[in-house]
Amino acid sequence: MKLTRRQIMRLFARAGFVASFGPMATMAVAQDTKDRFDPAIRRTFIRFLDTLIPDENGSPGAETSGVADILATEAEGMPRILEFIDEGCRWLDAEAQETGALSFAELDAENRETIVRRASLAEPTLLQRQFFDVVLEVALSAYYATPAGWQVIGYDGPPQPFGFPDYAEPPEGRL
Amino acid sequence: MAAEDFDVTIIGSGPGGGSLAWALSSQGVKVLVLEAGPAYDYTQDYHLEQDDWEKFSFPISGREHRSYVFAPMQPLEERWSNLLSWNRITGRTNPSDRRRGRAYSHVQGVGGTTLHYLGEAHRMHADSMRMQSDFGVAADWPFGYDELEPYYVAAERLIGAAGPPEQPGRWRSEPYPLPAHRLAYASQKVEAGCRELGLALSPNSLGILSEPYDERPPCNYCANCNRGCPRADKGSVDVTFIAKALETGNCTLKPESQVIRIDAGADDMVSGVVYADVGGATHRVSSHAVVVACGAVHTPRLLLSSAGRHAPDGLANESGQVGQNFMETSFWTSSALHPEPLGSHRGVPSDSICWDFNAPDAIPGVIGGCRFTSGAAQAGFTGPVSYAKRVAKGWGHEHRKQMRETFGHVVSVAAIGESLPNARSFIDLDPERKDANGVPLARIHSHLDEGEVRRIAFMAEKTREILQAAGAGELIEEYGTYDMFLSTHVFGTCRMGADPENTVVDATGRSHRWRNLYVADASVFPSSGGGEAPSLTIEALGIRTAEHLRKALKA
Repeated sequence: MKLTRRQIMRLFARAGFVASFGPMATMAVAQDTKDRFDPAIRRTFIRFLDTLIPDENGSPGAETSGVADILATEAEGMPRILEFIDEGCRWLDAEAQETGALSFAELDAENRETIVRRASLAEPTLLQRQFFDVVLEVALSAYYATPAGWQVIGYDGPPQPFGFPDYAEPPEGRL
Repeated sequence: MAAEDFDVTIIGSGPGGGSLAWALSSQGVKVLVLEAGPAYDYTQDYHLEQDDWEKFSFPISGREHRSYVFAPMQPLEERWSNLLSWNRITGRTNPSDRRRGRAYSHVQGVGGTTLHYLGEAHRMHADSMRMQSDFGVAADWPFGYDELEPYYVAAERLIGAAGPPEQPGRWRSEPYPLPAHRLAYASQKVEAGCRELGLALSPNSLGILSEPYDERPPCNYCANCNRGCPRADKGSVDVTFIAKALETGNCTLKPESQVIRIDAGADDMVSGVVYADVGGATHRVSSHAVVVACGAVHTPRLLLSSAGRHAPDGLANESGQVGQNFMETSFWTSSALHPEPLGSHRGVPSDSICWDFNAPDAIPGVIGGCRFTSGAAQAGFTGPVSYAKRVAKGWGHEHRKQMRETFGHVVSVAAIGESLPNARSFIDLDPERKDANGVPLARIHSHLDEGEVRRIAFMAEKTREILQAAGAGELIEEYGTYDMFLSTHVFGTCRMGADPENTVVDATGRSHRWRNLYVADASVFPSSGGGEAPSLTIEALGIRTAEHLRKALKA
C-alpha cells in the first residue's frame, strides 16, 4: 500500500503548507533541508499516527498494522513534507514537555490523546491544527485501504474481481 | 494520408463520433476517427482490484482540465443558503461568496465521457423536444420523438440496454434487449419511501448488461462504473460502437491525435483537418466530409479556433450561434445515514429512477422537469476510505466506532434537471491562454437564472423528503450546482434547426453553409431535456446523421 508522492503533496498542499516557522520560531531551531527523519521525531510521528488510529480489541491500529511506518517511510525523501511533519512533531513534543515528559512518544495513551485533542480544536490557521487535519486525512486514507482497516468494519476487500452478487439482499456477514 | 484514403473524418470518439463511425463503417464507408486522448485498455488500466483502489478516479491524464477555463460567476444569495454544498466532516464545499467553477467533468479518450459515465441509457421525453412551441423557452427540435425512435432502438440494441417494459413520456416500438436490473437493497428502501409519498421509483434504463450479451459478461454490481469498467459489462463507446466499427475493417482509429484546426475552402466546403500527434508534430488529412463530435465545450472551441479567411467569425458560425445557448448539468444530491445496515456500497450506481417530474410542466411554477435516482454509489460512498473521510466523525476510538456504525448505511437520492439556455451562458475562447498545441482554451461562461435556481430548490426539497420517507436520519452531505459549476452533461452550443440565421446545423446535423461539415454531439441539442442522460440520444442522432451523410456522399 502506498500513497503516491503527488497525493501526499496534494494533501499537504491543501493545508496551505509553506515552510513557516511562525509560532515555532522560539521553540525550535530551523533545520536544514533534509530527506531523512530525525529518529526522535520519527518516533513522535509514529506515536501521533497511532493516537489518531489506535489499537482496539485486537484490531491493529496505525502502528501495529505497519501503516504508520509505511507513511513515515513515504515521507522520507520529500524535504518539504518532512519539514512540515518535523514542525508538527516538535509542537507535540513541546506540549509533552510541559507535562514533564521528554517527548510525546513517551506519554501514555490518555495523555497523548489530551494533546492531540488540543491540536484538533485549535484555530484552523495554526500549525498544530493544520498538522492534525492533514495528517489525519492522510492516515485515514492509508489505513482504510488495508486489511487492518477493513477488519474494523467487516469489509471484504476491493470491489473487483468478485463484485457483489448479493447486492439486492440485506448485507450479511462480511460486506 | 492521401485524400482518397477516407470518405469521412470524425473528430472525437465519444457517443456521437463512435455511433457515427459504426453506422458509416458498417455500410462500407471508409472512416478515420481522430481522438485527442488515449485508448484505454479496460483489462488493465482500471484499479478496482487493488487494495488502494479508492485513491484512483478514472485515470484521466489531466489534459482534460488544461483545455478550458471558467469566466467569473455570479454572487451567491443569502435567500438560497439552503442550497449550499456541504459535508458534515469537511464543511462547505465552496466557502466563497460567489458561484465557482469546479470542473467540466469529461474524458478525452477512446469512448469519450462514456468511459466514466454511470451507464444510464435514456430517451428524451417527447414533450421536451417542443420547448419553444409549447412553453416559450429554449428551442424546438426540428423533428419529433417519433422520428428519432427507430434510432434509439438501434442504439439500444447495439449496446445491450437493460430496462423496464415502459417509461412515461417516451413510447417504445420494441422492448429493451435485456431485462431491467434488480434494485439494490438500499434502493429498495428508497423505493418504499417514494411509494409512501405517492411517487414511482422504477428500475432505471441502463447501458449495463443484466445478462451475457454480444460476448460481454453481465454486471457484477461492484458499484464503481465511474472508475472505469474492467469487465466491459458497461456499454461505454469503446467496447461497443468503436469496437464494432473497427471490426468492419472500414474504420481507422488514431488516438492521441488532437485536431487543432479545420481548414475551410472557398467553395463552402471544408478542405481538411490538421491534427497534432502525441509528440506535437502536425499532420493534415483530407476527406470528403468532416464530422465534429467533441462535445458541447470542445466542438465550439474547435470551430471558433478554425476561424480564417473564409470563415472570419469561426467555422460554421455565420449565425453567430457557435458557443451560444450553452446548457449544463443542473443537479442536487442529498445523502443521509439510515439506521439499518444497507450494504449501500453494492449495486449499480444509478439503478432506479423516478420520472414523475420529468415532463417540462411537471414542477409547479417552473418550466423544465427533473428526475430522481437512488444510489449511494452515485455519490461516491462505495468504499471504506470514503466513509473514513466523509462520514465518520472525529478520530481515535470515536472514529473507529463511527466507522463500524456507519459503513454501508449511507443512502443517497440524486436529481438532475432541465437546463434552459440564457444569454449569459456560453462558450468562447480565452483571449490569452492556449494549450500545448497552441489552441486557445475554451472559456466556460455559466449563469443561473431565477428559474434554474428554483428548479434546484425543488430538487433539494424533494430529495430530502424522499430520504426521510425512506427512513433515513441525519443528513451527512449535500451538493448541487447552485454554488458550483460541475457538469458532465453539456449541450446546445451548435444548435440544430431550420433557420440558418439562428442555428448552426440543419436537421441532419450538417452545417447550413459548409456542405461537407457535420456536428454529431450534444452541441446540436435545442433543449437539454428534463435531466435525461444524453448519451443514448447522442448515439441515436449519430446513427441518424450517418444515414443522411451516407446519402450525401453517394450524391
